[in-house]
Amino acid sequence: MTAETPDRLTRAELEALYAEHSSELRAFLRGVLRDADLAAEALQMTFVKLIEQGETANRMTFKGWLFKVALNEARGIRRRSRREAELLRRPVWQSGDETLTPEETLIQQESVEQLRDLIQKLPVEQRTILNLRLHDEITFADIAQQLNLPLGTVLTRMRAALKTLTSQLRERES
Amino acid sequence: MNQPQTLQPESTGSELDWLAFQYVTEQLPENQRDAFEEVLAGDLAACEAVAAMTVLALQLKQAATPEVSRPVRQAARSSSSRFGSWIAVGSTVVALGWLFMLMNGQDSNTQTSVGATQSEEAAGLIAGWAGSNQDEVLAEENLFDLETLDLNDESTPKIPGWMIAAVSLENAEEKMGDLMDEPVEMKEN
Repeated sequence: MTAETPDRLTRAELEALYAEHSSELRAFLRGVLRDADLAAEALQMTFVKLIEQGETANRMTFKGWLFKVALNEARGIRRRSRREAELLRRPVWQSGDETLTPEETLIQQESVEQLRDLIQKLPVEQRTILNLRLHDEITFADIAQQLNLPLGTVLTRMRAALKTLTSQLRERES
Repeated sequence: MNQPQTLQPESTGSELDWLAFQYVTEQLPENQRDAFEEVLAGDLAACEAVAAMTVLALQLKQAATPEVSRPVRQAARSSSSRFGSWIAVGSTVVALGWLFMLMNGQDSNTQTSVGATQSEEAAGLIAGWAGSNQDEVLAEENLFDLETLDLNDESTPKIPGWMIAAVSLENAEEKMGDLMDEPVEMKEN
C-alpha cells in the first residue's frame, strides 16, 4: 500500500480497513455500477482516496466515509464511461463475472446451495414469482400479466419472499 | 412498470432491503432510482442494503430454478402456440390413421385377391356378402377410397371388378347374376 506517514493512516490501519470493508464496498459498487470491472476500478479509486485523504475522516465513521467516497467514485466512473444509460438499465446479474479466489468460489457455492434450500421452503406462490423474476428475468409487470394477478399482489409476494430469505440468512449468519 | 414504494425517512431495514432490491434489479422507474441514489449519498444503512441485496440478487440468480417456473410459463404461453401444438398433434393422428387404413386396405386386398383366384369362390364370397348386413359392408367400403385411387398406377393395389360390384347393395342381386355369367377377370399384384 504505502509507507507510514504521521499524517496518514498507517499501513496496518489501511489493511485492516480493506479487510473489513472491501467485500461489502465491492458489492455496493457493483449494485450501483452494474459492471464488475467498473466496480473493481471504483473500489481501487476509493482506497486510493483513503490513502490520500483518509486522515480527514473521523475514525468512528470510516465506514460511512468509505461508502460516500465509493458512491462519488462510482458516479464519476459511470459518467466517464459514456455508458451511463446502458449501465443503469441492466439488472445487477448482468454485471459480468467477478474474479474470485478458490476459497471465495467455494463459499459462494455453499451460499447458493443454502439459498436454494431456503427457496424450496417458500410458499409456492412466492417461489413462483421469485423464479420468474430471477431465473426467467420477467419483469414484475409481465409476471402480473401472465399470472393474471394485480401487480401489487406480485410485488407483495416477492417482497414477502425476500423478507423471509433475508431474515433466515441473517439468522444463520448470526 | 411496477409501482415502487417511495423512500420514507423512517424506512425500516425491510423497506430499505426491498427498495435496494428493486434498485439493483432495475425495477425502479428513473425518478425513483435517482431519488434512491440521493439517499445513498447520506444514508449508510441504505448503502449496506444495496450491498446486501446485490449479493442476494446474484446468488438468487444462481439458485433460482427453471423447473419450478416451467408450469407457470407453460400456462402463460400464448393461445396461438397452444393452437399450433394441437394442430401438430391432430395432423399426426390423422396421418397415422390414414397410414393404418391404407395398410389394412392392402392386406385386405391381397387376401381377397388370393382368395378369389377361382370364380366359383368369388361368387360364393359375393353371395355371402350380399347376405351380410349393410353396416358390415359399409365398414368394408371405408377401407377403400375409390374416388382417389388411380387404377392405372401399377403401384396402386388393383381392386377386382367383382368387389366393386359387390359393395353396391342396391344392385347386388343383378350384379351377382352378371358376375356368374361372366367370370371375373382377376388381376394379381
